[in-house]
Amino acid sequence: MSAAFLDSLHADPWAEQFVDLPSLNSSASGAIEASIARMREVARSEPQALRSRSLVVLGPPGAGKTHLFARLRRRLGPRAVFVHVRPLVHTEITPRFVLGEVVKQLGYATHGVSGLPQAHAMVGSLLAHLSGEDVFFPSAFLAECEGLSDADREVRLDSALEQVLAIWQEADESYLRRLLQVPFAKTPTMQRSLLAWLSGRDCDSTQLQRIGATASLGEEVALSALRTLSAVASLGAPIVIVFDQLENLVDAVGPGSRLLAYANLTAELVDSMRGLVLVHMALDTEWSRGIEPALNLSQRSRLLMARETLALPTPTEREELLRLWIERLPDRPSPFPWPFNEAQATRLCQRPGVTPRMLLVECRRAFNGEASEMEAEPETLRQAAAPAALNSEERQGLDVEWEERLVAARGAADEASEQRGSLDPSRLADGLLACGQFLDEAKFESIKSADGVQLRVTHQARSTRIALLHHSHFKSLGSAIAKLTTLAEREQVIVLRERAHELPPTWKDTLAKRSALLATGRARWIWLEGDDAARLLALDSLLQAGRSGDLTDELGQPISAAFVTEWVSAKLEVPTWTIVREVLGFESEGDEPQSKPELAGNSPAPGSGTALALLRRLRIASLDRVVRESTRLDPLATRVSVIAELERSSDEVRWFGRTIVGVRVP
Amino acid sequence: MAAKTPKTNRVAPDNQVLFDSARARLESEGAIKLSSLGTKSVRATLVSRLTAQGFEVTGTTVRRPLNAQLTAALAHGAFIPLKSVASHVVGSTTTEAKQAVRSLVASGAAKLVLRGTEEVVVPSDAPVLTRDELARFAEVAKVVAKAAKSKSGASLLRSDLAEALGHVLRDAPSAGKHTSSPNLTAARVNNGGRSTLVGRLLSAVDATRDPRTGLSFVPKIVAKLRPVLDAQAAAAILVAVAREGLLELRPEGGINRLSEEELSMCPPGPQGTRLSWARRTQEVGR
Repeated sequence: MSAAFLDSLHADPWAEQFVDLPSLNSSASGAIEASIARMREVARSEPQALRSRSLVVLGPPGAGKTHLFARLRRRLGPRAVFVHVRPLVHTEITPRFVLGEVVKQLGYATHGVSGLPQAHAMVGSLLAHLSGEDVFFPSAFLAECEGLSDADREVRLDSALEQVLAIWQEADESYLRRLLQVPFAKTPTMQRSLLAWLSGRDCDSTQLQRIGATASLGEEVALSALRTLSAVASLGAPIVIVFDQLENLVDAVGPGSRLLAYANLTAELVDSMRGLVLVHMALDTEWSRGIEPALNLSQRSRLLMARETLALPTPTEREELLRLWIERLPDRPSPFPWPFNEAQATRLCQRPGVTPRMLLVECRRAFNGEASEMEAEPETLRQAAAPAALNSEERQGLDVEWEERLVAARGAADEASEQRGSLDPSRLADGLLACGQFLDEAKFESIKSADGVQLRVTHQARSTRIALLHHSHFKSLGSAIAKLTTLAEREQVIVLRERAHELPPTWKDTLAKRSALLATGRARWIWLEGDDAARLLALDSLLQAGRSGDLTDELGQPISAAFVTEWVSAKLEVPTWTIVREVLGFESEGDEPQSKPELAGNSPAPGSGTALALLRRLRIASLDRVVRESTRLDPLATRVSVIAELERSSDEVRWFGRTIVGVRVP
Repeated sequence: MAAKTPKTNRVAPDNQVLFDSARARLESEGAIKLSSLGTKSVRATLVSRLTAQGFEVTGTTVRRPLNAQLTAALAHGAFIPLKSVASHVVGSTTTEAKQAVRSLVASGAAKLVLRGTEEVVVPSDAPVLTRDELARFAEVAKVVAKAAKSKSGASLLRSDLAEALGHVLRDAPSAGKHTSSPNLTAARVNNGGRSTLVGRLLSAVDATRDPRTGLSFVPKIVAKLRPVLDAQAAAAILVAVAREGLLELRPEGGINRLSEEELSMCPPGPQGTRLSWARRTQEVGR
């Protein structure tokens, strides 16, 4: 193993490289394991008596809450399905959001069964149990099923379906039928379509056709779908949903509607689901001071069935941890305690208040030959350092954290693109609401709406509704646009849609509806560019990590949430972000608000003719290439200005669909 | 014709029982509504008996004397901001509570200090600057202010200022100390009193434990120990006991929830943290 693990100061729940000291906080992992085993046992012996279980795991930053998730995932492998959910910070969490997260992570690999997705492990275990076989070898059972002819496999799946329905009549038959088909999908595209439908995402017509469905799963069936999933999984591999970083739900002024929405939803999951294991993880101090007091008795009785407070490592455990890490370091010139000396190692093992993360930080410092922060231990209150002041190292550390989050957000966008889906609109809305913290004159708020994710922005005494349209199917998108057109008669509307999901020219009806919406004169359509979306996601993630005490500078020192906010304010210049300026009604470069909303066909003024000159040279090219090269030649040009310039020159430019442009031959 | 409802044989209320019950509630709750004392017929009698025993009566409430409530609050080592003093007593308006504070201060049972711009009531044994010391500080401050405003850019020698401050504080007890001096504390820790202190500390940890999380808030522990140990000594012994494995001290993970005063009571932890929570290791369950 390389020394790269020393840089992983924040546990990755899905990490494959993993160093664990099993005795540390074994009671917490044992409690969750016992709950999983109990679910499986009751599901098999008394299915009608099966209920869900909810546990709370608390600890200070760096005590190993997320590490616990990784440990259980590795330890249990295909015997449970693990789902890790960070809560939405600014918008309320809904059953559909939870369903989306569960099904998305069903596609993640199970540990220990060479790349077997969790969905396969779950279905394999279920089928094995229903056939009276060992549930702990799902891949072997799936291989056996795959060996059957299509007709025989269909018979077996039908039989399994009937068996499940005989146990739980309330299970959703059509949902279950498609769930059972996932491991046996003929092609990866078919499998992705099935998962997209099961997750409640809006599927496009090709995806629906591929899986033989007529419509996507409606919002109203999200709970029923979750109920079916949790119950059937409990027979083989029970589902464990871990809600992490819950301290983000509460702010210094007290609990808000988000916390109550979370408590209501999870209480409902406990009440109405069978076989689900819910784990709530939070900072101990925030839970006891901000979260628990805000819960009513009914919510407490459901959420707090058991509580585990993580302990810090004892001196012996610290030494064992240090040994574990140090033994994995390459090219060690001396045995343990190298890179420490005896005195340093002893001091590190005995000093009060040391978390595993702090220990790892010290190990990294010693390995890099840097001085230990713990060398000069302030013994008295007066000697204690003042709260961390702004310094360049912290900035450096946050620069790195920001870049990492941007990369992760771009990764998420790529993953969504591979699945032919869009980014989670709730997360994008969360990011936009996070931007609101850094704007002086504009206020963003989340609003409850039956028509997808919607926000309201108030700027210069003008209130505008923002709708995030992520729909993949032309009918559902058209329907959403039609509703917004009605709404636009009463108030200003902004539509946000990812650029990656532009409307194809064949969607004539939808395009006409879009034109009708823009023709109201009270609506604007903003294309969310990939980089802007990544920034929104990264900002949301950075602020959440700051609040959870999960950010460290280059030296490994924790960075306070207040400092993160200050850094974002000073460094990222959120008010100048294109998406923020567009939403607030500013032109890309100027300071004046747009006097008129964008009307159909009334695009921004074209650029300086760069795009047209380029196209004359290329003769024919993809729009992406023209945009890319034009923006390189003219830094002021944007995609919007390039398209507008090409559209204005319709006598000279010919469009092939919306992606290829060429010079019109006279 | 409907039958007449027979008259209920009402039992006359037992005044002694009502009085004892009211007294017990006053002792535990601090104040009760007059209307909860009983019927109008017995209320006057009860009120006069309670008043005779020193309880105070307002238009709607009977309460433990405000002075006694405030003295009790201060006896636990609390520093109470004057503007929120009413929330530390029961059955009183803010104006009444502030008047009670002033009378306590006038009688020497409490002291009023300025912390930043806020007036705070502190126990009478809290070491505060005397009028004479304040006057001497004011003299030093004048010099500092003059230097700060100097157009020629003249500053002060650090050593001069340190000497002046040392002169002012020469006879003052150490800042932040209450009844025990550092020497006394050190002596206590070093001699046979140490085991007593450890026992006292562990009792304070138990007494302040949150039954839900099993954690004790360090500032509360320090406040409990205050009559015996000052904040610095309490923090030092907390760390020493944690090193011995009897306690687990945990870093603060909260989001700026600690006040300056609370922060000042928490021992410094590794990597710039503050150790704000403690737990008896016997309960760690490993």
